[in-house]
Amino acid sequence: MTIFLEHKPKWVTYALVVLSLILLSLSLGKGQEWNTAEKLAIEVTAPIQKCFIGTVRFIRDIWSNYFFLAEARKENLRLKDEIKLLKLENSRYKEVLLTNERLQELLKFQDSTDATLIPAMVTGWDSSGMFKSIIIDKGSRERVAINMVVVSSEGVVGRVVSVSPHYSQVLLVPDQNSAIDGVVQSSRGRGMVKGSGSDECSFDYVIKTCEIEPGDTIVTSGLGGIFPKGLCLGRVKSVDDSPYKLFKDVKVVPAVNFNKLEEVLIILNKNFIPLGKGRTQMTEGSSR
Amino acid sequence: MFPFLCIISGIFVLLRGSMSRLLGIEWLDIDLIPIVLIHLLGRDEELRAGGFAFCMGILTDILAPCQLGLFALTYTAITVGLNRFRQFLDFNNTKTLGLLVGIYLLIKWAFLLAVLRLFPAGGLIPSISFVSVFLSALITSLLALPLFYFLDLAGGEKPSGAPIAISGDHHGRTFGF
Repeated sequence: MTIFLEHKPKWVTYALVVLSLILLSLSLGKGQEWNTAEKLAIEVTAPIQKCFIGTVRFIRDIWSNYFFLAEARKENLRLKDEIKLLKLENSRYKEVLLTNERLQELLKFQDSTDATLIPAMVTGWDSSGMFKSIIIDKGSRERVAINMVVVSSEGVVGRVVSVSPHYSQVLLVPDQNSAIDGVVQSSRGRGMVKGSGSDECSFDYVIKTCEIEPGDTIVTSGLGGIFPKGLCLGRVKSVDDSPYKLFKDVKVVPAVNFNKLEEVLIILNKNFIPLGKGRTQMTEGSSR
Repeated sequence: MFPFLCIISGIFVLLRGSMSRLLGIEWLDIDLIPIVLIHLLGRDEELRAGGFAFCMGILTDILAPCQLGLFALTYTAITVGLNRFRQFLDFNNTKTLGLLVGIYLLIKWAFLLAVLRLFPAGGLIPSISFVSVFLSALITSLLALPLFYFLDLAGGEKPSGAPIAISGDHHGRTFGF
């Protein structure tokens, strides 16, 4: 007892190491889902992140809108958003056209689904510096669940890996742990878009006979059950068809510019969003 | 001083990712937690250092898509390890403290990777670039030097029992090897 009291700080610190080890052991194999205590912590801490991001955006918006050609800036933003939406729409039309050309008339998702999209704001970025993830301000109260797909007007952003009542964590496409089954939009060649932790991804397992060129668009294949079919993943940057390799070595630039990601859409069900049928619950301020 | 340090560090952990993103340096791992930990160890405040390491580790665990306890274990284990070998380390010289911060970061990454390789069940494997890790350690070490100065200014004299340098500044630290 005397020894304990004499070396109390040391014993307490050792106890903390053991406690950390126990926590780590208990959380192994449980996935990345938040437990109740973590959800509570996120509910408390995320508003601080949200407040910080909001303040930065507010200051930036004031600077952009009032000190830097307010009207021209607004017009530019509106036109850019419009181009993004038109690009998405165009990509969807291309996909539908190609699907029709190949006589895939049995695709029933177009008239059978009525997907609900909810907009969410990015409130924080990964704090560890090790992963590519974001925290968004929509959670289980808004019916967000694990593995739901998160998109932007440009394409796939990622999938939900943790949910609290008001916030969710999204694993981004470029994260090293992300792998999405994709197809080349034009040739229908298959492969796997895998994050590399950097700004570009690799398109793996592309067979030698697959027709693929730089500039080709990669879309989700719908296989795997998480990502719906036809969502834009990225554009082919380079193709290395070395005779010494089993597969083609393809680099892909993600469709989404993650550096400028501010608002995202969560697909509340796992079915494809048919053209013109996606119901978007846009709220003011998040639908620029 | 210590509660203030905890609050500032907690806010740093919360906003670290967002700030890195805003500054365009998300590929760097600028971590200020080891600086505070080394500062506390330098002041011979082992209990506070341990508690601080555990709390900041848990907060990082919650905010990152990793297993709960991973960063807490990393921070506390390295802190305990450094304290265990303190007789071989010079905690009275600001430059060597800066070096210790860099070493702390390198050990942190090695420890994290080792733990994740040993216990990968369900855990995400972090993306890592050795160049960015070394660069991060270097930049954080350089950042540590002025921060130690300000921490010493704000913290006042060392608590009784802490080793005091014979020659050096009025806070008991020397500024040379």
